[in-house]
Amino acid sequence: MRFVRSPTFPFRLDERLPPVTVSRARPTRRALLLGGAAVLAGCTTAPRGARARPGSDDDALLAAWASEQRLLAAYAGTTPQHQAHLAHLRALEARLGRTPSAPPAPPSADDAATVPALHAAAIAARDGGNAALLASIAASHAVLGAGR
Amino acid sequence: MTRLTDALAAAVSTEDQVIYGYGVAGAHLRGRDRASASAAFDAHRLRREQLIRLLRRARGVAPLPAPAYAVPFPVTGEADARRLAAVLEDGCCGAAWDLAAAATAADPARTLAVTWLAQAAGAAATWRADPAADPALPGQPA
Repeated sequence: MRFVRSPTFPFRLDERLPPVTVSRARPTRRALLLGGAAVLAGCTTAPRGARARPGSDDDALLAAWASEQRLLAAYAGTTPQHQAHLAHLRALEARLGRTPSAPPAPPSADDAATVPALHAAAIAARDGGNAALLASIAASHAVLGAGR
Repeated sequence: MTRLTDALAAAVSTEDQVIYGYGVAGAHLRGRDRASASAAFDAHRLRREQLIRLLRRARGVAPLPAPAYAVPFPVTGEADARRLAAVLEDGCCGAAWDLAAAATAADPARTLAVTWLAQAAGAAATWRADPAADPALPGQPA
């Protein structure tokens, strides 16, 4: 794709890189067995349906998803914060390709506290699309946390 | 050109436009807003230099800035200038998203993109001063 300098604002979609497609790595038999064993043992607090694909960013996405659940529960449905966290949740589910389920967690309205972990996850993400999403969620949480 | 050099070149182009745009906006601002625009002008110049260094390291060629750019709407007062500044920072969010997506894990370009996205989203929100209008996912392609 060629980027042509445009002498006009705003930044147009054709100046942007194409969206990164979701990685569709398939789980290996070993991962499925390990995931199944973890569920049977009941020894994990990770969301159910959270079997990470080896070499994927699933752990980071699931951790972000669990944070969004706690934040979502802390804000009333009519607030901009609730709408933002709902959008984050849906975007994470789209990247995961499924809707995980998790036991109820205590609500938390501390958006800013999630930023360092999201930054680290964005920098470390293997998939560029996941990195961009996690960075964007971190940016949104920083804005929400600043109470603007 | 690789995907990373494409994204870095686009980011440099974006910063060229943003630096120009802050020059336009700053001329219409007063007091603290003018100081903020001036600080943003300097910060974006520095970021452009960082991006150019990364681009050269990736064996890319930095694009040259245009002499002038057309702003998306007439800027005739402080309200227009603040709106323009928010548009500029939103543009940075888009370029930072693309750069984060194009860079590999732990690459300096990825780290810069993550920081840039956060700073641009915060600046856009400050200029907009309307939490309801802040995007849920800054920089996400339309």
